[in-house]
Amino acid sequence: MTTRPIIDTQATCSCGATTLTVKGPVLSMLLCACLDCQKETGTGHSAVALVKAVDVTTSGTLLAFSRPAASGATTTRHFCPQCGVTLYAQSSRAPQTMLVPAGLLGGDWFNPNQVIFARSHTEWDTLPETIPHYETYREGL
Amino acid sequence: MFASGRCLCGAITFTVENPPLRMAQCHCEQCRRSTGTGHIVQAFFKREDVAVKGTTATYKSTADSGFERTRHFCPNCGSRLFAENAKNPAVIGIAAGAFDDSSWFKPMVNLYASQRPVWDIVDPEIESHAEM
Ligand SMILES: [Zn+2]
Ligand SMILES: [Zn+2]
Ligand SMILES: [Zn+2]
Ligand SMILES: [Zn+2]
Repeated sequence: MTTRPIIDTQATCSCGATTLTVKGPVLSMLLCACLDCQKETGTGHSAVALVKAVDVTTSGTLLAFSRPAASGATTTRHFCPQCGVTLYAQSSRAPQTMLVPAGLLGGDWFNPNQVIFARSHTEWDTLPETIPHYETYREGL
Repeated sequence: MFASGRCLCGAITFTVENPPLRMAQCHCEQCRRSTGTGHIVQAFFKREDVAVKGTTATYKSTADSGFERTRHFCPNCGSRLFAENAKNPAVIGIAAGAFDDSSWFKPMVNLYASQRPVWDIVDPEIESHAEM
């Protein structure tokens, strides 16, 4: 079990039109290899911190895109219309939480504790072997 | 046709006629922010080999080389798609995750490895450069 950091971080999208602040505990740190995350990030997996929605504030106008996720829930991704950077995503399964991309937040505290949707992981993408890999979605943190 | 792909919502689709000239992974700050992960992974093709359907949104910035870089994304779903660099307008980079089947993909080189976050695991067999 990896430790869950408490963060106080402000992040900006590439163009600077939008910002996101997280102040509070990180509930979980996930690498997701689902096909939607591959398409959205353009990489082999997303890297996201699960945080409480009440701990997040954003500024600037974001666009939202909703789609049924591989988990069966609806995932809504919020991105900057000027530069396309995703600021956060939310699942209808857990509206009290938000998923914030680690690459956006920066910092050394990120330490993934699980891989989800390993079933669609590509051969060319490299994942840590030392953390649990779940074939699909996993209940709990 | 060599490969096809699309964004998450399907508003943008593309096809590629021939295999890539080069495949690379980059850990620079701009690429990490753009993807929200520890890196970007792209395959580079001859511009003339790539056909795009749909209209992308673009974001322009200055690359470390000093040349203008244009990143293309879907205005509807925000998916990362293409990147162009004014230094070499005959070439276009396509995000590996955008392909319908990327089983042929394999980064040849890791760039800006000096900026790689410790949590982002890389294949030690792949040639690595501290910067470009
Ligand atoms: Zn922006
Ligand atoms: Zn996912
Ligand atoms: Zn789209
Ligand atoms: Zn880069």
